Amino acid sequence: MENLILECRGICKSYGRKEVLKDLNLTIESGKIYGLIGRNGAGKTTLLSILTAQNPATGGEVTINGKPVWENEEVLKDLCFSREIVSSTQNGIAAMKVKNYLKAASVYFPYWDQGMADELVKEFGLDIKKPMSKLSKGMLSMVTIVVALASKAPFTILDEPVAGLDVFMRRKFYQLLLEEYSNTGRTFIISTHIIEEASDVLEEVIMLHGGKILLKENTQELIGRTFCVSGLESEVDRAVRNLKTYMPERTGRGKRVTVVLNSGEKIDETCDVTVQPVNLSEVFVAMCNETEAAYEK
Amino acid sequence: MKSNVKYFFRKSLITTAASLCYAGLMFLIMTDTETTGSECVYTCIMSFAIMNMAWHIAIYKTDIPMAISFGSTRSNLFRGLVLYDVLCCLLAGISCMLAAVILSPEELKPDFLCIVLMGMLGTNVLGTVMGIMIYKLGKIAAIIWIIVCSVLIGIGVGFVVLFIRESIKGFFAVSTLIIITVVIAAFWIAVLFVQHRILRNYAL
Amino acid sequence: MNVLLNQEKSIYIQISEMIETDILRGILLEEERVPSTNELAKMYTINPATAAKGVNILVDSGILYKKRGIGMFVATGAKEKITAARKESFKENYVMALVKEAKGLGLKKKDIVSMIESIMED
Repeated sequence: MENLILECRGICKSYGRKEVLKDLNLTIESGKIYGLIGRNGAGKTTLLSILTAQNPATGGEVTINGKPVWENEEVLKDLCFSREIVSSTQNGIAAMKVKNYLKAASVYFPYWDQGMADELVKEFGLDIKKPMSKLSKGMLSMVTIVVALASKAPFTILDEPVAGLDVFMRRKFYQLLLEEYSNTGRTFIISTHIIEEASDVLEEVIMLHGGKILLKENTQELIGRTFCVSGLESEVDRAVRNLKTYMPERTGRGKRVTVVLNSGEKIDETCDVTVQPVNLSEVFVAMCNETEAAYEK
Repeated sequence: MKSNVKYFFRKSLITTAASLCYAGLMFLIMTDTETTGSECVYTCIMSFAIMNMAWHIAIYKTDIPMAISFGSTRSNLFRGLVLYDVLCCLLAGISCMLAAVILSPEELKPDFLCIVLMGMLGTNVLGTVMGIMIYKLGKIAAIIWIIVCSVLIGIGVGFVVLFIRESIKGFFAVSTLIIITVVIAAFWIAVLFVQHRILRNYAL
Repeated sequence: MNVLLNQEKSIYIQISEMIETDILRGILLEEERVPSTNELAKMYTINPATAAKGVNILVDSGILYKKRGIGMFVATGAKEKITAARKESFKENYVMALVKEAKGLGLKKKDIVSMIESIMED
């Protein structure tokens, strides 16, 4: 697969007076599975929309290998953004029958694999004769997953693909995703709230907060350098002196704090403290809290 | 571009078939052997106008958002929409004329062909404006527009046709009709220009 | 690292440890093929890059070797190597923690030794 680089430079997006994205920079290398995490309203969908030229940015530029994405047919054919289909009466798309929607997708996506689409429809047990407004939230998610996978686009973006799916179907999705990734090496960007479950599957995680990219890092490396240190308050403070700490919690004489180590940094091992690894969603919550605190100051 | 061509070509066939069925139904309900040729024509034009407005609503509610969500550029989409309108116009117009030839061959004069063309273009203007209205101004504006159109069609078309046929005969009738057709075509191009500007920054 | 509770190690480390344990238990024999990174990714529903990281640890330490175009194989002498390495880190991973916990409880050296003697036969 060709080496593609999707790059955002100085992306700004405002809705009226509200600034959602502020001078955002992001580089996505091809051939990885990325996770995009952020709080509700952080602007994940907006960012993904802008990445795929479905929404114009107020400022900045998105390029693939230097070529702008906006209104560029040649570049857009390598992108697929499979959004959540919201079933409301205002939305004409939701009134379509599943098979007509998939047929339209097959016309628009140049690399569409009909065989894969048929297989996935069968696997998910979707009734393609039904209008999408009559499908449950979970089934609608399945439709977006079918479109995303069958599009065979080199850069495929899924916005909350597991919304409404039960635990079995979520596992099925991760398995299908990994299988497709193993077979083709396509680049996937998945935005999700179910961070913990997805973290094993994501090679890199991108955190969006406060209109900017908080971090973009290899998932395992990030988890590997974050710890929860607990014990007697004085011991904990000694163990983590000079280190970046988040979310201190005091219970009586005890204290718990989350620590993110930079390269070369270490927790003082001579202190009487318990050091535990921290999972990805806890890292995210800690970092969001930190930035909130910083804003309040 | 190919995607939009393929998609809207298919859609135009379906839409034209549906329009002709609807027009045919209206024709059967509203006319009888006593009805004159021109009255038949504007029954057809009226039903096309309604269909045209309906499909333009569908375009803004479904086809445009869907095409953008599937990665189409706005300019290609716009071209697809124009293709769609032109095809529907042509196919419906030709079918109309064929029907007229079969049913009342004596009616087939140059002014009749002009009236059909004028009618098709006119309905396209009404439909395209309808789409823009509902997208930019919402339901209430759309309802007002439907009322305006009904009045226009009811009075205007009938008036033009009858006036031209009864009062001005011969060469002047045809040339007047041609001028009116060109004016309507100009209106259509202007409305398309507005549609293009709206689509330019369309955001999902 | 003072780690008393060790449930959530990095996934790639867990993968490498699982392969090592399989070798020790005779589930994977020397000169036998190890599941590929894609197969491992599928088995555990993890990203292939993470699986690859785990496998690479073992390649770097000489436990596994790569046969081009075929896959990863268990090296000869892998079992001995793993046993030796684990014996080395036994002190670090288990004994230090045991001693620290014992100290915290006020147990003396002879208490620990008699506990061990009562459990282990020679």
